[in-house]
Amino acid sequence: MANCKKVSRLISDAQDRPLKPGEWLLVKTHLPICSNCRNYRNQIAVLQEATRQLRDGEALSMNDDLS
Amino acid sequence: MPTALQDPYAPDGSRLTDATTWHADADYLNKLRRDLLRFAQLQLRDTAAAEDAVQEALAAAWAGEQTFAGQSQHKTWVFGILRHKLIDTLRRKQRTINLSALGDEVEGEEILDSLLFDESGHWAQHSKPQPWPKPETALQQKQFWRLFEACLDNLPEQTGRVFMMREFLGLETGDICDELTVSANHCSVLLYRARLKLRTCLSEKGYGEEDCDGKL
Repeated sequence: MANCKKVSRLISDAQDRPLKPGEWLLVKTHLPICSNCRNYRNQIAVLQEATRQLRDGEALSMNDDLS
Repeated sequence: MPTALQDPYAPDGSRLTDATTWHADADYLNKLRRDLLRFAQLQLRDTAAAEDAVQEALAAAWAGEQTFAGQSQHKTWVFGILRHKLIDTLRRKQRTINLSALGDEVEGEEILDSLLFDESGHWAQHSKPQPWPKPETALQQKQFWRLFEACLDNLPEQTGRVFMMREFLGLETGDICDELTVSANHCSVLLYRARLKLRTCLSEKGYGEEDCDGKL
C-alpha cells in the first residue's frame, strides 16, 4: 500500500531516475486522494526550478541586492 | 560531465551581445564576480577555495572568449565554466571525504522520519505540506530566495554536498555514488533527505504561510 512516506520518497527519486511502472502506479493512485502529497510535489517542483535558476545565474537574488 | 559551452538556456535580454567588451565593463564585471562568488560559496562552504575557483573561471572565460558564440547569455556561459571548476574542486576534496561520517549522517536522520511522518506513514499533523505558490510565482519573490539560500546553508555538510553535486553541478546520481563509493540507494536517500529538509526548513521559516498568490 502506498503511504505518504513512500510516495514522497518516490517523488524525490523521480528527479534522479525513471520510476518503474509499479512505482508510477503507486504515485498516480495516491496523488488524487492526498492534497498533502500534491502540495509536497509542488514544493519539490519549486525547489527544482530554483536550483536550475541558481545554477544558470538567472536567480533573482543574483541580480538584485536583497533588502 | 555537462556540456556547459552549449547551454540550452538562452534567455532574451542578453546584456552583452559583443563578448569582447565584457571585461572592460567594470560594473558588469563586479556584479558578475559577486554572483559567481556567491554561487561558489554555496557549493564549497570555503571562502578561499570559492575565490580561487571564481578567479580561475574568469581567467578561463577571458582566455576563451572566442568560443563564446553568443547563443546563450554571457553570464550563463561564465557560470557554466565555473561549474566545471567547482566539479574539479569537489572531486579533489572528495578524496578526503569521511565515509563513516556520511553513514552517521544517514543513521542520525532516521529521526527525521519519525518527526515528519506518523506511525502509519502519513504526514504528521504539524508537518503537513502547505500549498506554496507555483514555481513561476515563487521565484519572483525575494523572500523565497533569501530563505532558500539560508536553508541550503543549513543542510548537514555531506547531505548538502551530494545535493549540490546532483542539482547544481548536474552530475548523474550514478556518478556521484561511484565517486563517494556508496550504494545507489544510499545516494537517493541522501537526496531525498536534502529535499525534505529544504522544504521543511522553508516552511518552518514561514514560507508559504500567508499568501499563496505570491503577493508577499
